[in-house]
Amino acid sequence: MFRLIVAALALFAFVNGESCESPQFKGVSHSTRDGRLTVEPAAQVEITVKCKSGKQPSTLYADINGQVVPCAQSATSPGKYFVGVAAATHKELAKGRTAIKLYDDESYSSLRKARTDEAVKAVKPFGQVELNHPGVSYGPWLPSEFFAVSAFGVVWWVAYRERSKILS
Amino acid sequence: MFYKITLLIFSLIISGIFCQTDDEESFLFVTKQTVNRFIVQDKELTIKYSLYNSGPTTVFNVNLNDIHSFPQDQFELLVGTLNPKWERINADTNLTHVVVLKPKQSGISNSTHAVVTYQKSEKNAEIQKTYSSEIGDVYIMTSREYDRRFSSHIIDWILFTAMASPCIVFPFFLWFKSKSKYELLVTKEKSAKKAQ
Repeated sequence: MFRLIVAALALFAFVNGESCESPQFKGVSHSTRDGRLTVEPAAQVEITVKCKSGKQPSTLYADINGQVVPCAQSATSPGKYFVGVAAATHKELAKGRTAIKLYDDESYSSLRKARTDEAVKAVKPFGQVELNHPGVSYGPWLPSEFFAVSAFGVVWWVAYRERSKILS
Repeated sequence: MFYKITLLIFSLIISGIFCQTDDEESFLFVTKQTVNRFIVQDKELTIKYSLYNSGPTTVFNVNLNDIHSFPQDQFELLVGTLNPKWERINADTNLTHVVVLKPKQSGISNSTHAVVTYQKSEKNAEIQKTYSSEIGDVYIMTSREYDRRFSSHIIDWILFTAMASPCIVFPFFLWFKSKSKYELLVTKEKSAKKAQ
């Protein structure tokens, strides 16, 4: 009887301690798009992880430009992970899609244990999301005053031509 | 006497040891900045929190709370969270957390320090509290002020053209009418002369 209880408890603990199985990642990225309103670029990816079975990973680490940092979690709404990226100038934040590899506790500890470059590359990441930065805009190429001046200039030139014809 | 001196020396050594352990503990530096050049009503305001673990050890259970700086009635939260937490931050790590807000009102607004709490060790539940840097008083300009300087003004030009066009079109129309009448007269004369 006692053994049965112990076995049941062990099974219960095993199931609860199971890590996330076949996770699906969804990343929503947001970045500074207006070059006149902002001085420096900043981007953020909001990651949601859906596990088929098992519980949500307690910590998630993200590999941004070679540096592995822990992801922030919201204290008020669990299940969402945030990764922030900042750069000094707008040119330094890469335009387009940047892959961000994600690691959970297990893969992160094996990453830390890896000493050579090959071992580091051999570590299988937990998942991957993308940071999508559409680029920075500094306003329209030609100001609207240019179009206004050219339109009025054309009208004036047509009138001047007609006047010359009449006077000559 | 001798006993007192040894006790004094012993206590100095012990306090010296404790001072040394303070140096070995980590400290978390948090800066709070805005990347905006201008803060405009109803336009995005991006706040960047940088956390840096300077010390030789890991810090645990880091919790940043900045809900009091941006109350819900004055700011709308678009991206990120004002209360993030990290389970652990390793030594010599630089982290960034980005929050995007939208100011609902214009005028001068004061934003104070964010409060960060963390534990220096996993087993010791003693919580260390630190404050981030602050942005201070900022002027939130109205969207009209910003548009006056930076919008593309196309609608303004279209309105201007619509208002200026009667001054141009009306005399042109008069001239065109008389010109076409005159040309019609000239062709009639010519055809009449040819017929003669």
